[in-house]
Amino acid sequence: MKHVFWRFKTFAARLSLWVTLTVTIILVVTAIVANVFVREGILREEELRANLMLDNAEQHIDAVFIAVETAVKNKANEVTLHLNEPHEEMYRITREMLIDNPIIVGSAIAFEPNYYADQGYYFSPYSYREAPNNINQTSNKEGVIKSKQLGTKTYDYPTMEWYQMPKQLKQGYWSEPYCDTGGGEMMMTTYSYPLKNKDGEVYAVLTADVSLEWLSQMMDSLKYYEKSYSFVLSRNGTFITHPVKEVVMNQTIFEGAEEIGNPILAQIGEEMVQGNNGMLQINSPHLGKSFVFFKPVKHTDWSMAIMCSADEFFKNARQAGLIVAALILLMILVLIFILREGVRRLTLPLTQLTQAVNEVAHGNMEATLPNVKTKDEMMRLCHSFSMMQKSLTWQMDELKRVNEQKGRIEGELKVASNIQRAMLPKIFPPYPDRDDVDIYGQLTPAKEVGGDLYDFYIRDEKLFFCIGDVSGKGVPASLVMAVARSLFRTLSVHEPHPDRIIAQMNNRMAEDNEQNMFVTLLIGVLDLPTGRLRYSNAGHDAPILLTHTSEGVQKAYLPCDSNLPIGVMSNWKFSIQETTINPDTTIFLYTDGLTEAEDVNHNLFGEERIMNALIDSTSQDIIERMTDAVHDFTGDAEQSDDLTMLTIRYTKPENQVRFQKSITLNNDVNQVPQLAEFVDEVCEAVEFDMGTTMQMNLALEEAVVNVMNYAYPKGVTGDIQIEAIANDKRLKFVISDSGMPFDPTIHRPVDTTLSAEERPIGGLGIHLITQLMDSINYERKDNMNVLTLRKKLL
Amino acid sequence: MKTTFKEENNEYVMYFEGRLDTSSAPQVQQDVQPLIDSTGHDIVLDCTQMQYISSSGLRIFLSILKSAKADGQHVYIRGLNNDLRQVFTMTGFITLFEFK
Repeated sequence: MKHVFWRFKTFAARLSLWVTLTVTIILVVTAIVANVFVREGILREEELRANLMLDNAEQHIDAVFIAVETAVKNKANEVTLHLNEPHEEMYRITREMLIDNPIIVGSAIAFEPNYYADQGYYFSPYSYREAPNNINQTSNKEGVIKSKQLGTKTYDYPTMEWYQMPKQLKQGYWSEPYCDTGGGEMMMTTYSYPLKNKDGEVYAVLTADVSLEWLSQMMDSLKYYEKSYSFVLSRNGTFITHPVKEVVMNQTIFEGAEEIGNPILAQIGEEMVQGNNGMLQINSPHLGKSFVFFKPVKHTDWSMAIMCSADEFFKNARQAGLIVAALILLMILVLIFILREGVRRLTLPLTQLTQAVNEVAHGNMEATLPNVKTKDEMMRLCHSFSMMQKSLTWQMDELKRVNEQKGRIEGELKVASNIQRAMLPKIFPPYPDRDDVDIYGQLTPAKEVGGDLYDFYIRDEKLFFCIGDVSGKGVPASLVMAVARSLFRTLSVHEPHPDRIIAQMNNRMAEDNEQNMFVTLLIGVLDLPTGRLRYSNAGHDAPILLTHTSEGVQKAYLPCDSNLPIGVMSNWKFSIQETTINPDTTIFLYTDGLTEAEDVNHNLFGEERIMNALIDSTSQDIIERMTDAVHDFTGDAEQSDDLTMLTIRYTKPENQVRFQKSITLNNDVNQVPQLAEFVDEVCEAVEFDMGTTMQMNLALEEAVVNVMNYAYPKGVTGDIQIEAIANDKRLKFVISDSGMPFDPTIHRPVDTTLSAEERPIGGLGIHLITQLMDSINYERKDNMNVLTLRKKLL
Repeated sequence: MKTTFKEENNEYVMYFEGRLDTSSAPQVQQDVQPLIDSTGHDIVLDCTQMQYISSSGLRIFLSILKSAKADGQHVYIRGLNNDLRQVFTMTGFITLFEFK
């Protein structure tokens, strides 16, 4: 389960993945937005703090400068009071300046040249402190204060800036910071204050040199952050303080910007020199990404700045961010765990259901489905599967039952097929001892049982044959076929006329024909001794006749009247047709299964192909070749209809008449002895033994007496001619009379099993004839009754 | 056809000699009339000398049998040759009569 889960092959895994992804995205976006706002807030906060710090520093600076200015202004008044005693007082004033103000490292009172005639061109008393590093050598805390006259020829102070600017401006002036090279290396600035007489003319400038060491220290002590520094620019952009001492007083910010190629730094310089207040972001070479807060020092037109690494600002924020990120990660892990477990629990019934359904799929219909208690889709799904399981079980049982039934039906169908096959003549050649007819039939049903039929048998030297096709296929057709075949056999036993056989079959089958089944049927009766063919066709395909003529073998359809198929309408009058066929004529009969045999493209075999495939050969060969032709044509196509073929080859040999004798009697039973004498002579001629001779006597007597008794009305004398003809094979008696039409063969046969009391007196004669002779054949010919009896020679 | 009637061992015996065909049947019918009319004796039809029988003859035999059975008499046939027995067989008469 576990490894499958992580391969996202399960619903649980995919659900967990999607939920986790969604939650992760929401958390990360929230974190990013929060971070942006926090940074913004931090920046505002830091700006405020930096400004506060800068304000403090400015106030501090201002305090110093105001103190200096105040001290200078106070001393200026003292100077005005003591102008008369220049030498003593002026030096004193400057010294006191230093003593009173420890921050002032030097002070001068520089008079206009030649102000005092006795003092020379330059007069500027100047007191200063020795370098602070020598402080330890002095008792005075502020160092040793020395005085001197400042102006010399080499130091022409009236031309200097610190003198000229206040004189011109007529007000106090703070000089640009500078490095004092005279005493200790010290950065200083000088406040110069003009002393004016009553007329307002400047006669002297009072100066106070202020060391800027404190500024540097103060700025350096402005420890904003670990990674931060501050600096001060003069009004032209020179660094006054900077942690890198080399640049102090040596470089302007613009030069620095150019040196490192940072235009932002130049922009910052520009802003600061113009005295603006603000903040800018810069990529500093020392601190990396940094922020610069700057503010002008109003008093001196300087500008201060604090530069701080952005990292420092956001250090806390970043830490918080890391914690948040870790929290998010933890939450996601917890979420994944909960999801995995929760979804697994939720889908547990699904897993169990899958296993159960798999079992069902493998055939175990009894598999137990999970019992889901939650009233949700899962329960409905389980219910559905449970119903499906029950339904499947039922269906399978049903299927099993149907299959068993089907098997039984198939078995029965097989038996039915065998029974049906048994109805058809199946021993070929059927009459191996006959040389006058050669018959072959073949029925190939499309299904187990079919609706085609053919049949034939010889009675009284007549070949009765039929071929038919029941409408429809399968079992119903086969039942009708069985009925039709039975009727043919039953009815043709006493009825030599095909039209009457068909008519009777039609009437029987048309009765109660609720299924509207019908049969196309052709019945033929071929008189084998004469070749006389009588036939009746009830809507069946016309047979083909192969005849030998002087021009060779001819193929032609046997002309057929159009009659209704049987079973359609009772009492239909079926026509009879007649022809005489010569020896070596073949009758080829078939059902529409042959003409309508289909190939895979649904082309029909058709009459033309039948004609082409038909050859003059033995009956079996004709059908086998036709079968091959059909198979070649249809190929792999499934047989669509029953296919039946019947070939009758009439091969009557032209036998020489060996013996012929006749007698004419009249209808008087007293002439029976003459008949007996005639029969005895004939039998002797054909070398019949005593027993056979007696049988011939009996048959002839019965036949002739029958005619004597019934052919002519009482009191009318009529002739009866009896002709005996014998060839190599048979003896034939032909009994002819010109009496009323009378066919003895259609009278009912005698039931020889009845008891003496039940036996009728009459009817024995015809029964004896049929028993004694090989065939009995009646025909009405030229207004004569012609009865032919045949007996095979011994 | 010649017929001879004898009484032997309390049985009426009729001897048939020659051909019993349709032409001789009317005479024979008259000859056997005493048998048909008789009662109380079993009847024997002796066919030892009979050469031939047609359905007319068989009908006479059947009429004797029917009459005798109605009177409770037995009718026996004796001396039937094979050819004639075959005729009796064909017609089923072989089951109707008793043979001696």
